[in-house]
Amino acid sequence: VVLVQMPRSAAARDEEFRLRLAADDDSALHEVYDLFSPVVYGLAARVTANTEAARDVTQEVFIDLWSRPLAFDPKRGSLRSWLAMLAHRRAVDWVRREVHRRRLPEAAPGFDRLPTVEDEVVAADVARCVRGVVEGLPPPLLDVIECTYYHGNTCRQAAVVLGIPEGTVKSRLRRALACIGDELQRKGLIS
Amino acid sequence: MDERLHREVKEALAAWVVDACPAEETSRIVAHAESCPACATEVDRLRIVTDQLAVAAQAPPPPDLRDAVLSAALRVRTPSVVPANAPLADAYADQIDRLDRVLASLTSAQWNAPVARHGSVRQMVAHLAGNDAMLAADVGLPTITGAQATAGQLHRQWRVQAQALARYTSSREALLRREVRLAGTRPARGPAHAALVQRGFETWIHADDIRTVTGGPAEPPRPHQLKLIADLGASLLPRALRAAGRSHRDRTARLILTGAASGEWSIPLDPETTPGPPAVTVRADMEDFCRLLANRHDPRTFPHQAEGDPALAADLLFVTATLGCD
Repeated sequence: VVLVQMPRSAAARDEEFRLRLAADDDSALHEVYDLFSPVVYGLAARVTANTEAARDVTQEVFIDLWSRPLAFDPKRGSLRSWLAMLAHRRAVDWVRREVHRRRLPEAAPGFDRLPTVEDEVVAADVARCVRGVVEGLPPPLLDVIECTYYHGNTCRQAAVVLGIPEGTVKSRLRRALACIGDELQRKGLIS
Repeated sequence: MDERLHREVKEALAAWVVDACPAEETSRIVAHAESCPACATEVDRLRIVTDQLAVAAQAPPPPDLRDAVLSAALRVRTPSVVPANAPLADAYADQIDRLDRVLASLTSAQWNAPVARHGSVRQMVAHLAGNDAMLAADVGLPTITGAQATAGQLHRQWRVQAQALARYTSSREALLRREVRLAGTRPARGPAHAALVQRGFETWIHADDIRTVTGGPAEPPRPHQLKLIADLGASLLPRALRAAGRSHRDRTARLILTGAASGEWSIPLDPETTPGPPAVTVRADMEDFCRLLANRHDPRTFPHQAEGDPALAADLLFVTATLGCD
Protein backbone atom coordinates (compact mmCIF):
# COMPACT_ATOMS: atom_id res chain seq x y z
CA VAL A 1 0.00 0.00 0.00
CA VAL A 2 1.47 3.30 -1.04
CA LEU A 3 -0.14 6.00 1.00
CA VAL A 4 1.91 8.88 -0.15
CA GLN A 5 2.76 9.16 -3.80
CA MET A 6 6.09 10.73 -4.49
CA PRO A 7 6.24 12.89 -7.57
CA ARG A 8 6.37 10.37 -10.41
CA SER A 9 9.78 11.54 -11.46
CA ALA A 10 11.29 10.94 -7.99
CA ALA A 11 9.80 7.44 -7.81
CA ALA A 12 11.03 6.64 -11.32
CA ARG A 13 14.44 8.07 -10.48
CA ASP A 14 14.72 5.84 -7.39
CA GLU A 15 13.86 2.78 -9.49
CA GLU A 16 16.48 3.78 -12.03
CA PHE A 17 19.09 4.15 -9.30
CA ARG A 18 18.24 0.70 -7.97
CA LEU A 19 18.58 -0.87 -11.41
CA ARG A 20 21.83 0.92 -12.21
CA LEU A 21 23.36 0.06 -8.83
CA ALA A 22 22.37 -3.59 -9.32
CA ALA A 23 24.05 -3.45 -12.74
CA ASP A 24 27.41 -2.37 -11.22
CA ASP A 25 27.06 1.22 -12.47
CA ASP A 26 29.26 3.11 -10.02
CA SER A 27 28.31 6.44 -11.58
CA ALA A 28 24.86 5.81 -10.06
CA LEU A 29 26.51 5.56 -6.65
CA HIS A 30 28.20 8.93 -7.24
CA GLU A 31 24.85 10.48 -8.10
CA VAL A 32 23.11 8.95 -5.11
CA TYR A 33 25.91 10.18 -2.86
CA ASP A 34 25.69 13.70 -4.22
CA LEU A 35 21.92 13.79 -3.76
CA PHE A 36 21.58 12.21 -0.34
CA SER A 37 24.87 12.49 1.55
CA PRO A 38 23.76 15.75 3.25
CA VAL A 39 20.78 13.96 4.79
CA VAL A 40 22.80 10.86 5.72
CA TYR A 41 25.77 12.77 7.10
CA GLY A 42 23.71 15.52 8.72
CA LEU A 43 21.50 13.03 10.51
CA ALA A 44 24.46 10.92 11.63
CA ALA A 45 26.29 14.02 12.87
CA ARG A 46 23.23 15.18 14.72
CA VAL A 47 22.59 11.83 16.46
CA THR A 48 26.21 11.01 17.28
CA ALA A 49 27.38 14.58 17.87
CA ASN A 50 30.74 13.27 16.67
CA THR A 51 32.18 14.06 13.25
CA GLU A 52 34.33 10.90 13.08
CA ALA A 53 31.35 8.74 13.89
CA ALA A 54 29.24 10.62 11.36
CA ARG A 55 31.86 9.94 8.67
CA ASP A 56 31.91 6.25 9.54
CA VAL A 57 28.13 6.00 9.50
CA THR A 58 27.95 7.78 6.14
CA GLN A 59 30.52 5.43 4.66
CA GLU A 60 28.77 2.35 6.00
CA VAL A 61 25.38 3.47 4.68
CA PHE A 62 26.59 4.00 1.11
CA ILE A 63 28.64 0.80 1.13
CA ASP A 64 25.54 -1.02 2.33
CA LEU A 65 23.51 0.42 -0.55
CA TRP A 66 26.20 -0.45 -3.09
CA SER A 67 26.57 -3.99 -1.71
CA ARG A 68 22.85 -4.74 -1.51
CA PRO A 69 20.91 -2.38 -3.80
CA LEU A 70 17.97 -4.77 -4.02
CA ALA A 71 17.38 -4.52 -0.26
CA PHE A 72 15.86 -1.13 -1.04
CA ASP A 73 12.22 -1.68 -2.00
CA PRO A 74 10.86 1.31 -3.93
CA LYS A 75 7.31 0.18 -3.19
CA ARG A 76 7.82 0.83 0.53
CA GLY A 77 9.16 4.37 0.35
CA SER A 78 11.74 6.64 -1.21
CA LEU A 79 15.45 5.96 -1.54
CA ARG A 80 16.17 8.96 0.68
CA SER A 81 13.90 7.56 3.37
CA TRP A 82 15.67 4.18 3.10
CA LEU A 83 19.12 5.76 3.44
CA ALA A 84 17.95 7.94 6.33
CA MET A 85 16.66 4.84 8.09
CA LEU A 86 19.97 3.01 7.60
CA ALA A 87 21.88 6.07 8.81
CA HIS A 88 19.68 6.50 11.86
CA ARG A 89 20.02 2.86 12.92
CA ARG A 90 23.77 2.92 12.60
CA ALA A 91 24.08 6.27 14.38
CA VAL A 92 21.88 5.07 17.24
CA ASP A 93 23.94 1.87 17.50
CA TRP A 94 27.08 3.99 17.74
CA VAL A 95 25.58 6.13 20.51
CA ARG A 96 24.57 3.04 22.48
CA ARG A 97 27.97 1.38 22.06
CA GLU A 98 29.63 4.60 23.14
CA VAL A 99 27.47 4.88 26.24
CA HIS A 100 28.33 1.30 27.05
CA ARG A 101 32.05 1.79 26.40
CA ARG A 102 32.30 4.78 28.66
CA ARG A 103 30.27 2.93 31.25
CA LEU A 104 28.07 5.94 31.57
CA PRO A 105 24.88 5.55 33.48
CA GLU A 106 22.05 4.73 31.12
CA ALA A 107 20.49 8.14 31.28
CA ALA A 108 23.70 10.11 30.87
CA PRO A 109 23.45 11.41 27.30
CA GLY A 110 21.66 14.64 27.73
CA PHE A 111 20.24 16.66 24.90
CA ASP A 112 20.14 20.18 23.71
CA ARG A 113 16.77 21.68 23.95
CA LEU A 114 16.79 23.02 20.41
CA PRO A 115 18.71 22.06 17.31
CA THR A 116 21.62 24.33 16.64
CA VAL A 117 20.14 25.72 13.49
CA GLU A 118 22.56 28.62 13.35
CA ASP A 119 25.56 26.32 13.14
CA GLU A 120 24.31 24.59 10.08
CA VAL A 121 25.22 25.92 6.74
CA VAL A 122 22.48 24.15 4.89
CA ALA A 123 19.57 26.42 4.28
CA ALA A 124 17.46 24.20 2.08
CA ASP A 125 13.93 25.55 2.23
CA VAL A 126 12.42 22.19 2.97
CA ALA A 127 14.85 21.45 5.78
CA ARG A 128 14.16 24.85 7.32
CA CYS A 129 10.46 24.38 7.01
CA VAL A 130 10.53 20.95 8.66
CA ARG A 131 12.69 22.35 11.43
CA GLY A 132 10.09 25.03 11.94
CA VAL A 133 7.40 22.40 12.23
CA VAL A 134 9.41 20.32 14.73
CA GLU A 135 10.33 23.34 16.83
CA GLY A 136 6.71 24.45 16.78
CA LEU A 137 5.62 21.29 18.60
CA PRO A 138 4.33 21.71 22.13
CA PRO A 139 7.43 21.40 24.39
CA PRO A 140 6.51 18.00 25.88
CA LEU A 141 6.28 16.52 22.39
CA LEU A 142 9.39 18.27 21.13
CA ASP A 143 11.31 16.89 24.11
CA VAL A 144 10.57 13.27 23.29
CA ILE A 145 11.48 13.71 19.59
CA GLU A 146 14.73 15.42 20.50
CA CYS A 147 15.60 12.93 23.18
CA THR A 148 14.87 9.81 21.12
CA TYR A 149 15.18 10.46 17.38
CA TYR A 150 17.87 13.14 17.46
CA HIS A 151 19.88 11.79 20.40
CA GLY A 152 19.55 8.07 20.06
CA ASN A 153 17.98 7.34 23.45
CA THR A 154 15.62 4.43 23.93
CA CYS A 155 12.21 5.12 25.40
CA ARG A 156 13.47 3.84 28.74
CA GLN A 157 16.46 6.18 28.72
CA ALA A 158 14.26 9.06 27.60
CA ALA A 159 11.91 8.37 30.50
CA VAL A 160 14.81 8.78 32.93
CA VAL A 161 16.17 11.90 31.21
CA LEU A 162 12.78 13.56 31.02
CA GLY A 163 11.53 12.31 34.37
CA ILE A 164 8.34 10.86 32.97
CA PRO A 165 7.01 7.28 32.75
CA GLU A 166 8.13 5.16 29.79
CA GLY A 167 4.53 4.72 28.67
CA THR A 168 4.20 8.49 28.49
CA VAL A 169 7.31 8.69 26.28
CA LYS A 170 5.74 6.21 23.88
CA SER A 171 2.38 7.95 23.75
CA ARG A 172 4.00 11.35 23.29
CA LEU A 173 6.12 9.95 20.48
CA ARG A 174 2.97 8.77 18.72
CA ARG A 175 1.36 12.15 19.15
CA ALA A 176 4.50 14.01 18.11
CA LEU A 177 4.88 12.04 14.85
CA ALA A 178 1.16 12.41 14.12
CA CYS A 179 1.34 16.20 14.75
CA ILE A 180 4.39 16.59 12.53
CA GLY A 181 2.75 14.49 9.82
CA ASP A 182 -0.43 16.56 9.92
CA GLU A 183 1.45 19.82 9.88
CA LEU A 184 3.74 18.77 6.98
CA GLN A 185 0.68 17.65 5.09
CA ARG A 186 -1.02 20.97 5.75
CA LYS A 187 2.05 22.75 4.40
CA GLY A 188 2.00 20.47 1.37
CA LEU A 189 5.45 19.00 2.11
CA ILE A 190 4.03 15.49 2.11
CA SER A 191 0.79 14.44 0.50
CA MET B 1 -4.46 -12.54 14.56
CA ASP B 2 -3.52 -12.05 18.19
CA GLU B 3 -5.48 -8.89 19.04
CA ARG B 4 -3.48 -8.07 22.14
CA LEU B 5 -0.17 -8.40 20.32
CA HIS B 6 -1.53 -6.26 17.48
CA ARG B 7 -2.57 -3.51 19.90
CA GLU B 8 0.78 -3.62 21.67
CA VAL B 9 2.74 -3.46 18.43
CA LYS B 10 0.57 -0.71 17.03
CA GLU B 11 1.29 1.40 20.09
CA ALA B 12 5.02 0.71 19.86
CA LEU B 13 5.40 1.48 16.13
CA ALA B 14 6.20 5.17 16.66
CA ALA B 15 8.93 4.23 19.14
CA TRP B 16 10.23 1.61 16.73
CA VAL B 17 10.55 3.89 13.70
CA VAL B 18 12.68 6.29 15.76
CA ASP B 19 14.83 3.29 16.82
CA ALA B 20 13.91 3.79 20.48
CA CYS B 21 12.87 0.20 21.23
CA PRO B 22 15.18 -2.29 22.92
CA ALA B 23 16.38 -5.13 20.67
CA GLU B 24 14.09 -7.79 22.13
CA GLU B 25 11.00 -5.66 21.45
CA THR B 26 12.24 -4.79 17.96
CA SER B 27 12.23 -8.39 16.77
CA ARG B 28 8.65 -8.87 18.00
CA ILE B 29 7.53 -5.72 16.19
CA VAL B 30 9.29 -6.64 12.94
CA ALA B 31 7.77 -10.14 12.99
CA HIS B 32 4.27 -8.78 13.49
CA ALA B 33 4.51 -5.84 11.09
CA GLU B 34 5.63 -8.19 8.30
CA SER B 35 2.42 -10.18 8.51
CA CYS B 36 0.00 -7.39 9.43
CA PRO B 37 -0.98 -5.15 6.49
CA ALA B 38 -2.46 -2.49 8.79
CA CYS B 39 0.77 -2.17 10.79
CA ALA B 40 2.89 -2.28 7.61
CA THR B 41 0.87 0.60 6.21
CA GLU B 42 1.28 2.53 9.43
CA VAL B 43 5.05 1.94 9.33
CA ASP B 44 5.25 3.29 5.76
CA ARG B 45 3.28 6.35 6.88
CA LEU B 46 5.48 6.96 9.93
CA ARG B 47 8.63 6.55 7.82
CA ILE B 48 7.49 9.44 5.66
CA VAL B 49 7.55 11.58 8.79
CA THR B 50 10.91 10.31 10.04
CA ASP B 51 12.30 10.89 6.54
CA GLN B 52 11.37 14.55 7.00
CA LEU B 53 12.98 14.58 10.45
CA ALA B 54 16.17 13.38 8.74
CA VAL B 55 15.88 16.09 6.10
CA ALA B 56 15.60 18.66 8.89
CA ALA B 57 19.01 17.53 10.17
CA GLN B 58 20.78 17.69 6.80
CA ALA B 59 24.21 19.26 6.76
CA PRO B 60 26.94 19.32 4.12
CA PRO B 61 29.39 16.45 4.59
CA PRO B 62 33.10 17.27 4.65
CA PRO B 63 34.27 17.52 1.01
CA ASP B 64 36.95 14.83 1.39
CA LEU B 65 34.35 12.30 2.52
CA ARG B 66 33.04 11.80 -1.02
CA ASP B 67 36.20 10.18 -2.38
CA ALA B 68 36.70 8.20 0.81
CA VAL B 69 33.22 6.71 0.64
CA LEU B 70 33.25 5.99 -3.08
CA SER B 71 36.65 4.33 -3.11
CA ALA B 72 35.77 2.26 -0.04
CA ALA B 73 32.59 1.15 -1.80
CA LEU B 74 34.52 0.10 -4.92
CA ARG B 75 36.91 -1.91 -2.76
CA VAL B 76 33.94 -3.83 -1.35
CA ARG B 77 32.38 -4.54 -4.76
CA THR B 78 34.47 -3.81 -7.81
CA PRO B 79 32.56 -3.59 -11.07
CA SER B 80 34.32 -5.37 -13.87
CA VAL B 81 35.83 -2.81 -16.21
CA VAL B 82 36.51 -5.21 -19.04
CA PRO B 83 33.44 -6.98 -20.37
CA ALA B 84 33.67 -10.77 -20.49
CA ASN B 85 32.72 -10.44 -24.14
CA ALA B 86 33.82 -7.07 -25.50
CA PRO B 87 32.55 -7.43 -29.12
CA LEU B 88 29.12 -8.38 -27.85
CA ALA B 89 29.05 -5.53 -25.32
CA ASP B 90 30.27 -3.02 -27.92
CA ALA B 91 27.72 -4.06 -30.51
CA TYR B 92 24.79 -3.61 -28.15
CA ALA B 93 26.13 -0.41 -26.59
CA ASP B 94 26.66 1.03 -30.08
CA GLN B 95 23.04 0.36 -31.04
CA ILE B 96 21.76 1.80 -27.75
CA ASP B 97 23.68 5.02 -28.49
CA ARG B 98 22.31 5.18 -32.03
CA LEU B 99 18.68 4.59 -31.08
CA ASP B 100 19.08 7.06 -28.21
CA ARG B 101 20.08 9.75 -30.72
CA VAL B 102 17.24 8.82 -33.05
CA LEU B 103 14.68 9.02 -30.23
CA ALA B 104 16.09 12.30 -28.95
CA SER B 105 15.51 13.85 -32.37
CA LEU B 106 11.84 12.82 -32.67
CA THR B 107 9.04 15.37 -32.64
CA SER B 108 5.85 14.44 -30.82
CA ALA B 109 4.15 13.90 -34.18
CA GLN B 110 6.91 11.44 -35.11
CA TRP B 111 6.54 9.59 -31.79
CA ASN B 112 2.92 8.98 -32.75
CA ALA B 113 3.64 8.23 -36.41
CA PRO B 114 2.38 4.84 -37.59
CA VAL B 115 4.85 2.00 -38.12
CA ALA B 116 4.21 -1.46 -39.49
CA ARG B 117 3.52 -4.21 -36.91
CA HIS B 118 3.49 -1.97 -33.82
CA GLY B 119 0.93 0.76 -34.33
CA SER B 120 3.12 3.75 -33.60
CA VAL B 121 6.77 4.57 -32.97
CA ARG B 122 5.92 4.92 -29.31
CA GLN B 123 4.28 1.51 -29.12
CA MET B 124 7.26 0.01 -30.90
CA VAL B 125 9.69 1.48 -28.34
CA ALA B 126 7.46 0.15 -25.55
CA HIS B 127 7.59 -3.28 -27.24
CA LEU B 128 11.39 -3.07 -27.43
CA ALA B 129 11.63 -2.06 -23.75
CA GLY B 130 9.32 -4.96 -22.90
CA ASN B 131 11.61 -7.46 -24.65
CA ASP B 132 14.61 -5.91 -22.88
CA ALA B 133 12.76 -6.23 -19.55
CA MET B 134 12.22 -9.95 -20.20
CA LEU B 135 15.97 -10.51 -20.40
CA ALA B 136 16.59 -8.17 -17.43
CA ALA B 137 14.23 -10.30 -15.33
CA ASP B 138 15.90 -13.53 -16.48
CA VAL B 139 19.39 -12.36 -15.54
CA GLY B 140 18.18 -11.17 -12.13
CA LEU B 141 18.10 -7.43 -12.65
CA PRO B 142 15.21 -5.40 -11.24
CA THR B 143 12.83 -4.03 -13.86
CA ILE B 144 11.62 -0.46 -13.86
CA THR B 145 7.89 -0.38 -13.34
CA GLY B 146 7.76 3.39 -13.43
CA ALA B 147 5.92 5.90 -15.48
CA GLN B 148 5.65 5.70 -19.24
CA ALA B 149 3.18 8.54 -19.32
CA THR B 150 5.19 10.62 -21.74
CA ALA B 151 7.38 9.74 -24.69
CA GLY B 152 10.30 11.28 -22.81
CA GLN B 153 9.77 8.98 -19.84
CA LEU B 154 9.50 5.96 -22.11
CA HIS B 155 12.68 6.97 -23.94
CA ARG B 156 14.55 7.39 -20.67
CA GLN B 157 13.24 4.19 -19.18
CA TRP B 158 14.22 2.18 -22.26
CA ARG B 159 17.72 3.70 -22.27
CA VAL B 160 18.48 3.22 -18.56
CA GLN B 161 17.26 -0.35 -18.70
CA ALA B 162 19.14 -1.21 -21.91
CA GLN B 163 22.38 0.32 -20.64
CA ALA B 164 22.11 -1.57 -17.34
CA LEU B 165 21.36 -4.78 -19.23
CA ALA B 166 24.34 -4.35 -21.57
CA ARG B 167 26.74 -3.48 -18.75
CA TYR B 168 25.62 -6.18 -16.36
CA THR B 169 25.15 -9.14 -18.68
CA SER B 170 28.18 -8.67 -20.88
CA SER B 171 30.52 -8.40 -17.88
CA ARG B 172 29.70 -11.85 -16.50
CA GLU B 173 31.05 -14.94 -18.20
CA ALA B 174 28.81 -17.33 -16.26
CA LEU B 175 25.74 -15.22 -16.89
CA LEU B 176 26.33 -15.23 -20.65
CA ARG B 177 25.94 -19.01 -20.58
CA ARG B 178 22.78 -19.03 -18.46
CA GLU B 179 19.65 -20.17 -20.28
CA VAL B 180 17.08 -17.40 -20.67
CA ARG B 181 13.97 -16.66 -22.71
CA LEU B 182 14.64 -15.39 -26.23
CA ALA B 183 12.46 -12.77 -27.86
CA GLY B 184 10.43 -13.79 -30.87
CA THR B 185 7.07 -14.78 -32.17
CA ARG B 186 7.48 -18.32 -30.84
CA PRO B 187 8.57 -19.15 -27.27
CA ALA B 188 12.26 -20.06 -27.39
CA ARG B 189 15.14 -20.30 -24.99
CA GLY B 190 18.85 -19.92 -25.38
CA PRO B 191 21.98 -18.70 -23.61
CA ALA B 192 22.02 -15.08 -22.42
CA HIS B 193 24.79 -14.57 -24.98
CA ALA B 194 22.27 -15.21 -27.76
CA ALA B 195 19.68 -13.02 -26.03
CA LEU B 196 22.17 -10.16 -25.91
CA VAL B 197 22.93 -10.54 -29.62
CA GLN B 198 19.17 -10.36 -30.13
CA ARG B 199 18.87 -7.20 -28.03
CA GLY B 200 21.44 -5.42 -30.18
CA PHE B 201 19.82 -6.80 -33.32
CA GLU B 202 16.30 -5.72 -32.38
CA THR B 203 17.53 -2.30 -31.25
CA TRP B 204 19.18 -1.79 -34.66
CA ILE B 205 16.12 -2.94 -36.60
CA HIS B 206 13.74 -0.69 -34.69
CA ALA B 207 16.09 2.29 -35.03
CA ASP B 208 15.98 1.63 -38.78
CA ASP B 209 12.18 1.35 -38.67
CA ILE B 210 12.10 4.82 -37.11
CA ARG B 211 14.60 6.19 -39.62
CA THR B 212 12.20 5.02 -42.32
CA VAL B 213 9.43 7.05 -40.64
CA THR B 214 11.56 10.17 -40.36
CA GLY B 215 12.95 9.84 -43.87
CA GLY B 216 16.49 9.15 -42.76
CA PRO B 217 18.73 6.62 -44.53
CA ALA B 218 19.01 3.08 -43.18
CA GLU B 219 22.14 2.55 -41.07
CA PRO B 220 23.91 -0.77 -41.20
CA PRO B 221 25.53 -1.93 -37.95
CA ARG B 222 29.25 -2.39 -37.68
CA PRO B 223 30.51 -5.50 -39.48
CA HIS B 224 31.24 -7.43 -36.30
CA GLN B 225 27.62 -6.99 -35.17
CA LEU B 226 26.38 -8.28 -38.54
CA LYS B 227 28.54 -11.35 -38.00
CA LEU B 228 27.12 -11.92 -34.50
CA ILE B 229 23.57 -11.68 -35.86
CA ALA B 230 24.23 -14.01 -38.79
CA ASP B 231 25.88 -16.53 -36.42
CA LEU B 232 22.84 -16.44 -34.17
CA GLY B 233 20.47 -16.87 -37.13
CA ALA B 234 22.45 -19.81 -38.50
CA SER B 235 22.43 -21.52 -35.09
CA LEU B 236 18.65 -21.12 -34.70
CA LEU B 237 17.76 -22.34 -38.20
CA PRO B 238 17.75 -26.17 -37.76
CA ARG B 239 15.20 -26.08 -34.90
CA ALA B 240 13.17 -23.34 -36.56
CA LEU B 241 12.93 -25.39 -39.77
CA ARG B 242 11.57 -28.29 -37.76
CA ALA B 243 9.11 -26.03 -35.89
CA ALA B 244 7.88 -24.61 -39.20
CA GLY B 245 7.43 -28.08 -40.72
CA ARG B 246 10.05 -27.35 -43.37
CA SER B 247 12.95 -29.42 -42.11
CA HIS B 248 14.77 -31.92 -44.36
CA ARG B 249 16.50 -34.92 -42.87
CA ASP B 250 20.06 -35.63 -44.00
CA ARG B 251 20.21 -32.42 -46.00
CA THR B 252 22.70 -29.65 -45.41
CA ALA B 253 22.72 -26.12 -46.80
CA ARG B 254 25.83 -24.07 -47.24
CA LEU B 255 25.31 -20.40 -46.52
CA ILE B 256 27.88 -17.94 -47.86
CA LEU B 257 27.43 -14.33 -46.83
CA THR B 258 29.62 -11.52 -48.12
CA GLY B 259 29.70 -7.73 -48.08
CA ALA B 260 30.71 -5.55 -45.10
CA ALA B 261 31.37 -8.78 -43.23
CA SER B 262 31.61 -12.29 -44.54
CA GLY B 263 31.23 -15.82 -43.30
CA GLU B 264 30.27 -19.36 -44.25
CA TRP B 265 28.01 -21.79 -42.43
CA SER B 266 27.06 -25.41 -42.91
CA ILE B 267 23.46 -25.58 -41.78
CA PRO B 268 21.82 -28.97 -41.23
CA LEU B 269 18.22 -28.64 -42.41
CA ASP B 270 16.95 -30.67 -39.47
CA PRO B 271 18.02 -30.51 -35.82
CA GLU B 272 18.98 -34.20 -35.78
CA THR B 273 21.03 -34.10 -38.96
CA THR B 274 24.80 -33.85 -38.74
CA PRO B 275 26.17 -31.44 -41.34
CA GLY B 276 27.23 -33.18 -44.54
CA PRO B 277 28.05 -32.13 -48.10
CA PRO B 278 25.71 -29.32 -49.14
CA ALA B 279 22.55 -30.13 -51.08
CA VAL B 280 22.26 -26.42 -51.80
CA THR B 281 24.56 -23.41 -51.56
CA VAL B 282 22.99 -20.01 -50.89
CA ARG B 283 24.97 -16.81 -51.46
CA ALA B 284 23.76 -13.41 -50.31
CA ASP B 285 24.85 -10.12 -48.82
CA MET B 286 25.28 -10.35 -45.05
CA GLU B 287 23.45 -7.13 -44.27
CA ASP B 288 20.56 -8.20 -46.50
CA PHE B 289 20.51 -11.57 -44.77
CA CYS B 290 20.31 -9.90 -41.35
CA ARG B 291 17.37 -7.81 -42.55
CA LEU B 292 15.73 -10.98 -43.82
CA LEU B 293 16.21 -12.45 -40.32
CA ALA B 294 14.26 -9.44 -39.01
CA ASN B 295 11.54 -10.08 -41.61
CA ARG B 296 12.35 -6.73 -43.24
CA HIS B 297 12.77 -8.53 -46.58
CA ASP B 298 10.23 -10.65 -48.41
CA PRO B 299 11.83 -14.14 -48.59
CA ARG B 300 10.24 -14.66 -52.05
CA THR B 301 12.04 -11.67 -53.55
CA PHE B 302 15.17 -11.88 -51.43
CA PRO B 303 18.28 -11.18 -53.54
CA HIS B 304 20.43 -14.31 -53.49
CA GLN B 305 22.00 -16.99 -55.65
CA ALA B 306 21.26 -20.64 -55.02
CA GLU B 307 23.14 -23.61 -56.46
CA GLY B 308 21.52 -26.97 -55.94
CA ASP B 309 17.98 -27.80 -54.85
CA PRO B 310 15.97 -24.53 -55.16
CA ALA B 311 13.17 -25.90 -52.90
CA LEU B 312 15.66 -26.27 -50.05
CA ALA B 313 16.87 -22.71 -50.57
CA ALA B 314 13.28 -21.45 -50.53
CA ASP B 315 12.55 -23.23 -47.24
CA LEU B 316 15.75 -21.92 -45.71
CA LEU B 317 14.94 -18.33 -46.67
CA PHE B 318 11.30 -18.64 -45.68
CA VAL B 319 12.17 -19.86 -42.18
CA THR B 320 15.00 -17.31 -41.82
CA ALA B 321 12.37 -14.57 -42.11
CA THR B 322 10.49 -15.98 -39.08
CA LEU B 323 13.38 -15.60 -36.65
CA GLY B 324 13.04 -11.90 -35.85
CA CYS B 325 11.94 -10.39 -32.57
CA ASP B 326 8.58 -8.95 -33.53
